[in-house]
Amino acid sequence: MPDTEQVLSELAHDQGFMSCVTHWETLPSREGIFSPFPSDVDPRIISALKSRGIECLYSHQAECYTAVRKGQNVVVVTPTASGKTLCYNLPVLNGLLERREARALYLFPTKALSFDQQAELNEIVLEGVPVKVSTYDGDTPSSVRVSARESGRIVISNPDMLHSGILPNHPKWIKFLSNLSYVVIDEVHTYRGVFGSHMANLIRRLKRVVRFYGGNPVFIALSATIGNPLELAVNIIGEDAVLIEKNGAPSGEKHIVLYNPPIVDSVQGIRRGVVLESQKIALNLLRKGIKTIVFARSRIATELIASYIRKSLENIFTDNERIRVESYRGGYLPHERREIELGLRDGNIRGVVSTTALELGIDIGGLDAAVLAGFPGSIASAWQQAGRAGRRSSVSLAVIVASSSPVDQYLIRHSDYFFGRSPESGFIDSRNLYILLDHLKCAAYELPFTRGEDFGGDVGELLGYLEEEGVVRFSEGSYYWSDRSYPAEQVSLRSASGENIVIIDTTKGRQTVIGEMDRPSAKELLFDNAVYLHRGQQFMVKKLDIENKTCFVEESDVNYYTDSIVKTDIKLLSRDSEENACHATILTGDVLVRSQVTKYKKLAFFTHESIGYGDIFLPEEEMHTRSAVILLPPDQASGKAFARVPVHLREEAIARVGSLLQNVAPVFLLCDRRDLGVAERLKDPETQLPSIFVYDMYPGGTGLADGFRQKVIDILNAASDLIANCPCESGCPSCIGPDSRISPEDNLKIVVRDFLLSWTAG
Amino acid sequence: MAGDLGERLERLKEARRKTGQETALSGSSPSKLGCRTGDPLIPGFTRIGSYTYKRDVSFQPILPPSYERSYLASCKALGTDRLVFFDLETTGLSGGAGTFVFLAGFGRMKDRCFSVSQYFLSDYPGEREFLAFLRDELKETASFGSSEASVPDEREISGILVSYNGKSFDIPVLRNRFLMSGSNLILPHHIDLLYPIRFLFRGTYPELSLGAVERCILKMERGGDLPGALVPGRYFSFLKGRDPAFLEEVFSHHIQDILSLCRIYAYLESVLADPESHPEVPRFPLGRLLYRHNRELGLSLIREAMDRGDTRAGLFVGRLYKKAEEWEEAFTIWKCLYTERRSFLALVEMLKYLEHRLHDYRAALSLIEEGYTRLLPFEVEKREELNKRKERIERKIKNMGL
Repeated sequence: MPDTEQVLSELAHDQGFMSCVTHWETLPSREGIFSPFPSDVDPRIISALKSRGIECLYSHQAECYTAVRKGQNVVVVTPTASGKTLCYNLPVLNGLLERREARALYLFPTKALSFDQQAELNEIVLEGVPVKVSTYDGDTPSSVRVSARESGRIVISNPDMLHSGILPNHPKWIKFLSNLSYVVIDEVHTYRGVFGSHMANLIRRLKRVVRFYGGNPVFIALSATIGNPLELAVNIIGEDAVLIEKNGAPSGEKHIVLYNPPIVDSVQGIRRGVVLESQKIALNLLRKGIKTIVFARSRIATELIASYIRKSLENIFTDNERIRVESYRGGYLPHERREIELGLRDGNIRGVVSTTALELGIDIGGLDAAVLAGFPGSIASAWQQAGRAGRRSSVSLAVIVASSSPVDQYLIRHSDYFFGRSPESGFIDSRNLYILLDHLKCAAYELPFTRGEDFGGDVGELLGYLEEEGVVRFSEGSYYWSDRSYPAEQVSLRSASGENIVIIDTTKGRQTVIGEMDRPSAKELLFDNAVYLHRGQQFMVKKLDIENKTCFVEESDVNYYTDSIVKTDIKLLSRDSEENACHATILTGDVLVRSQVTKYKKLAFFTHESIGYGDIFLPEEEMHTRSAVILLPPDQASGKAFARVPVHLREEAIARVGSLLQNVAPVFLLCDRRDLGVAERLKDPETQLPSIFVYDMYPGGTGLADGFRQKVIDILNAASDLIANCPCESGCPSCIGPDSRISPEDNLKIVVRDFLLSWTAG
Repeated sequence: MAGDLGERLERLKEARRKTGQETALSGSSPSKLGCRTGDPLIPGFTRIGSYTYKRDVSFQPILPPSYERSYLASCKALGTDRLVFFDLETTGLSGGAGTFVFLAGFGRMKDRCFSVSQYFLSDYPGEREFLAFLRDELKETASFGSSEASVPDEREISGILVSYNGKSFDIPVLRNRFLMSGSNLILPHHIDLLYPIRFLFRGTYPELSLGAVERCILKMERGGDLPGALVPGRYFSFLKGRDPAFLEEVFSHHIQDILSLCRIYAYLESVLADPESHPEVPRFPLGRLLYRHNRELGLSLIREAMDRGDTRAGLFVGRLYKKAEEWEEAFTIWKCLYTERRSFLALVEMLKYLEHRLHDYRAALSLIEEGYTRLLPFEVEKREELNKRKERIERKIKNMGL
């Protein structure tokens, strides 16, 4: 049996390893707080649980059970390995056994998670709990769909399916919906920003239809640790809820190690790459028998790390040292994902390299170590990924390896920032007009609206707007859907840009589909002559046919991989409004955001040296959207303040203000960081002035750019306050971003701070 | 673009504040709508409810008064007055909760005529009442002739609903409407003619919609008919403008659909009763369809297809012989299919027979070798199939010590 404690001790004594460690935090083990099974739990459930080794409950599971039994909505905050599934499975299964007609709906953000949950539920059900569990998602074959609707007592699905498959066809679901008693929303913290607004509206539609059939379900939401779990969940479900956040599960001692790869070129200050370093650390752990997960920042990195580890283990005599390592990411075919998930659960696969796809709570059989190849985008994410390692009572390890990016380098050297900050909060604007309107159309399709009926607030004006548009008809006190279209088809919950490209293996005359990818990523990863890595196998792209959504590849065996160079550009197309505010000029208008890949690098395996370049001939990826633009005219205070910034720092300074705005604006606009794009220009060709663009990351816009314009004064003042009060020395990820220049003479943070102060003061 | 939304909402707010009333928009203000008494008359139709209109139109009879034997209804002695030809017009094709039925038609043989009843919904609030009329029509069909209680077989006495694609579209949409208005739908026995049409003509024509069948098989041109795709738009125009002129062509299109439906029924009964006089129907599927009721006739049609060079028909006959264990006949057919029509499946059947029945390994191997020569370079899977058999036979030979 591998002994994690022993391995930790070896690491602690490994000079080479320790010289790169900037911080080693030990979180003490925690005793469990237990609770016996409540007396009204059906004995069949208790016996099924006991046969799986569960003799009693954790305190938070019991609390959750009690609240649900009372008919209260619940939000449970659950870190990994705290038995969150029992929080909902117990009250739901019990309720379903008590009332033979009752039904439950489980919503997961991804299909992988659904599959996992179904597997877990089935294990209980097979032990003598007669409740039928069905999955209903895009992969479900039609014969199974009918059975799910008719007799599935627990239906497992996802928001997209609910939106375009279930709700618009609700009469077919009448049996299920009229008896719907429980709705479980897992990973509710992922429903933030624009996506969260969609979810809030979707739940409104669900409640409306269920009410029509006479139901009144209880909501159970599960969240990871974020700043405001209760507020977010309440916004999503549109009702009050009880918060349960005291975790009663025991946990073993956790070790979190911050690791900075060693410098290999002291003159230029270059460090060893995060990919190579992470795979080395992971390999070491795997060889010692430790089940390890590696989180990589990108698809390429995921495949590379997995390939390198496998290559190092390659040995036919020892059967690769009996260690099986798999890579895991989106773009694999469903059965491939299933295979990997199963292998992890039953221990066949000892190590996995993943993108953030596995960050979510899929139960993958107790990993003992997690290696993060670079910091993920947020503190909350980092803790979630680090939290994948560790079982109930054993010691676990998470190693966070810094990449050379300025943010990583800052974090790795300021452990107090990482350990001291509370995780980010999630905001949604449940009254975002654009999103509300889209869902209002879908709701009107589902059921007519009576005059005065509420939909997250008063919608009389919006219905009037839809009537003017001609898609609804007002007659005898109700608004009826009066159009031939199917509105759910035109509304996408995620900003998917069209259908995926299918990847076809044409080696030796074959025609096998091996995977898929979204179009923008395909342009960056599947250009002609690109090296495509898929689960460790190497292919070369023969032809990318964007129009027909196919990419033809052939097996190859070269000694390099390819990486494309993406250039982004933004262009103002129209000026819809122009006004002076906060001593600057604010425009709003339509913009064209273009990104283009024109060249690619060939990088040798292992050394990652560049061994050549190639050209790419692909059309640009274009997005039309809305943007607010802040201009700094020379005759206003903002322009004058900018003129006082030293010439050689102006480009940096304006870029840093952009970063600041990206940090601050989401709070005011009630959206997520990823919903906004920011671009800065020293002198924009259209405006001929220093300009900062703040734009919606969704084609057509979702009202954020216009919202920015309305709140620009508050946002700029908040930005100025933020940097003035930030405790960092010369810039950190929370304000303007770390200063990555080598031996600077001036303090960029002070320069930016003074610039903003004199700008906003006027 | 998106930026307009805020402004337009402002404008609407202003407009309402000024006029002090809600939804004062053209086409839907109560006064223009017309309440119950003011609803527009629809020429040719009688008002039978607040928002429901009906008319009955008679035509020359299309069907004989009875069929001695009906293949479609699977019974003897079918009185054609039991058949109800049924079609709907809806506000869209999506089949979800937002698709409304606004026109329903029932065509019957009655008093030596073909009579069509059309029910029309003139506005959404009248749906419940409209559906009640439809329910009565369907209930009546279901229990048709049930006064003749002496006949034992339920199905022999009840009415039969006939539709085109009704199973996948019309009935599910109708069922949805009933569920949403809280009532039940009682359905009689239902024959969907799309299924036999598809079975017989798939691969012969690119399209098998009602219109396509009318044109290509019945050889009828409607001339000046409203394309089906424009029907919903006409209804929406009527709702806004309340002018029944929008609907004329919809009503006649709908009636034509029902007449065609009946004609297709007549055609199919004729084909199945007398295949000889319908050389335009492919023999193989026709043979298979008839095989269930009349083996001899069915088989002769399939053989006819085979003799004309239809490989699948040949394989079907081969399979029949194989099942009956008439090996010589089966082998003759397969050999013919392989040599003359390059059928790989026939080759495989021959190999199976040689290997597992006759145990003539030499013959099997030489046939495999010959098979290789006929393969094209890209036919990888077929090659692998032959490889598999060859290896197995060679192993068997070795084990026998030959």
